[in-house]
Amino acid sequence: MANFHVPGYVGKILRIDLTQKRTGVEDLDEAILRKWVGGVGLAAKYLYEEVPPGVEWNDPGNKLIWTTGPLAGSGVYGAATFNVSAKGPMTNLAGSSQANGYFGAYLKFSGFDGLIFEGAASDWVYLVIKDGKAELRDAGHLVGKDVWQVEDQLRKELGVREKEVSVYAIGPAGENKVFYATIVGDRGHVVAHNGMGAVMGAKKLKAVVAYRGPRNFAIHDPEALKVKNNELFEFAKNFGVIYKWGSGGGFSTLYAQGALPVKNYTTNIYPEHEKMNGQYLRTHFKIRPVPCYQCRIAHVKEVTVTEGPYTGFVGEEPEYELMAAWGPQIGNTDLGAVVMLTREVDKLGMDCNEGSWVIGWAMECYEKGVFTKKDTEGLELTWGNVEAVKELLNRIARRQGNFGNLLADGVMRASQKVGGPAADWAIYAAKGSAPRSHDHRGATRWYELFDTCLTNTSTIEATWGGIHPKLVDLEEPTDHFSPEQVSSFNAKYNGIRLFDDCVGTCRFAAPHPKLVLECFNAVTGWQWSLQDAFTLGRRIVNLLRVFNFRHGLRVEDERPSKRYGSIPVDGPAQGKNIMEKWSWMVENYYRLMGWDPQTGKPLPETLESLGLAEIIKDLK
Amino acid sequence: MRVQVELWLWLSDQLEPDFEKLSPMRCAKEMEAEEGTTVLDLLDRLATKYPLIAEKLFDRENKKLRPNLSAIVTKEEMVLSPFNLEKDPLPPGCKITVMPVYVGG
Repeated sequence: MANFHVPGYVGKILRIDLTQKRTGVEDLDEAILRKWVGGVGLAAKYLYEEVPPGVEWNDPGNKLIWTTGPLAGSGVYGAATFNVSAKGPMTNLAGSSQANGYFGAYLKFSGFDGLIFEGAASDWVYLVIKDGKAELRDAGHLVGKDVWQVEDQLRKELGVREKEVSVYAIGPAGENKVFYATIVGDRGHVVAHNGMGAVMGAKKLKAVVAYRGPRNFAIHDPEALKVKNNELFEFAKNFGVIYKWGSGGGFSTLYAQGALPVKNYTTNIYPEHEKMNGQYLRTHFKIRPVPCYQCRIAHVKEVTVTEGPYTGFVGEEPEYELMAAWGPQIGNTDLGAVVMLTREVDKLGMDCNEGSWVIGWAMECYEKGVFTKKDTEGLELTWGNVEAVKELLNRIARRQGNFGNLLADGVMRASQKVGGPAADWAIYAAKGSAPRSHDHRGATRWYELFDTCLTNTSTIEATWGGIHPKLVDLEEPTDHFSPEQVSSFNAKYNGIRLFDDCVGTCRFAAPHPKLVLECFNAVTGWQWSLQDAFTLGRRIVNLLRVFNFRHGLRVEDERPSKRYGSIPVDGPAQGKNIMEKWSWMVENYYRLMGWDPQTGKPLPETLESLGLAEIIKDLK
Repeated sequence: MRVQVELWLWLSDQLEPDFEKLSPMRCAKEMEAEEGTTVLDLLDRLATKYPLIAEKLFDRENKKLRPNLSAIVTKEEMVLSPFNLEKDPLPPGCKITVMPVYVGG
């Protein structure tokens, strides 16, 4: 049972020296937890302190930090989220990414609030944690296996049933250090952003296994938690489309707003959206719930395709981003094929967002004659050729051939290597981060385009599509194409989503920030205000911004690529131009964030107000 | 003035033939509206006439869209923004599309 005096926490960090194949346990202190809470906050602290400038993403000196927060495993429905941070290959700056499933809860049940991997192993290894103990084991026999095979193999070897352990692993993409390699676990949950799987591959760490166990930490006010948890569930059930239709339930809405990515942003016309959305999938395909840990929202499903060429194919239900990535972005109109490609990209361990930007770009290059069949090494990369996409994903994951290897570093680097007009067709943020699978030039998505370009964590951090500000007492913007409103809103909204990413909850199962905060207070007993939650988030954003400046961030790279920031040629957002006042938007945002409007560096008074006075000297 | 209402809510079969069935998901209706009519005024009118719309789409008591729904106004296929659903008068020839709200990614 609970040994640590701070409710919500086990109070231990496991440090794993992969070079020496040694592990050690460190105690956490309450002051650190109150300052950084957990998840992305705690990881940011360690990343800042332990990865100095000059360490590159694939150096043994880079740290791979897995952390969860006080709500994970607390009984809050679906609270098993964990965060992975490191310096990531896409940006060679800070990266943070979260995944759900079971791991966040099992990490704590195994005795730890976080894991810090350092160094690099000489041979492939995997880590097993159980009852406060840790063991590195040989993973030579797992090399080359996809993540589903690894899960099956490890459960068999360990002699455990499906839910007895949580397994997260890298697939061939991580082993081959594909820049957008992911870490995948619990049958299809993904740590997706900024190539955390490639960092794991650089360290020759194939998998991590955490055991289920009894709750081993205290809860301050179990009765209050029960009440607030139920309120959160009732709210989540009636909020948006997730409960009934999954995240794909918003697919057609995005189409109506001109926010669906179609054929690499060359058009916004995709009438087939009606047979490519969550409502269609759940009323036509066979569905089986496969919920995350203690989740009543249970939006994660297994799906059996019932029509089209992939009839009978069983896979995970594609989330919205996967539907967009493997549907309109590559010119595919068959939902069954999306299920097939979702399984493929997940098992190889690659990010669907960057994967589809790079393949969509390659398809446009093929259409326009920049790439021939000789260049693609025999692949006919016509729009919608899903079997060619499947083959290409496999070649990329293994860096097979010149073409697979070219695309394995992501679309920014591939397009720069190819050069010529094709360099202008690639969709990316100039720092290297991959946008999520929307057309961010559409209505209500400018917030996210702006956020993606200015992110300090390498994923969206300020917005949730710029919607639902009333949940945190902010005014709803009235003009989604206003440079003033978009840039100001992102600054005002900044912080609360980082709080979410600290506490260990899922944004779909727990979408109301104030109720999450009340659950947090019930678990920890800290009685934080909404302002405290915002301040924590801003502290993390500022810490990582200083980290990024120290590691080479250039403010001139806080912009979209030419195509990403282009003007839509048709559809509902036709003619809208986010770049018209881009510099003004950036300066306005910097100013509102308390950063120098020219250099983008946090002002000393900003850092001081966030409890970061000690790092002011690092910016000089 | 004439305006069009399009529902992307899988109500086509129930609202036919008063609404034109464009697909199982989409149905549409041309309407006459007085100058100064807002989106909420128009939906209130529809909800008065069609109990199904009152049940699924528009809360007449509180004069607002039911949870999980959003509306956009387009003219000549382009989104109008800024556009306040409660206050802004509809322009002639516009289309109001009601659909599920989008949450998350």
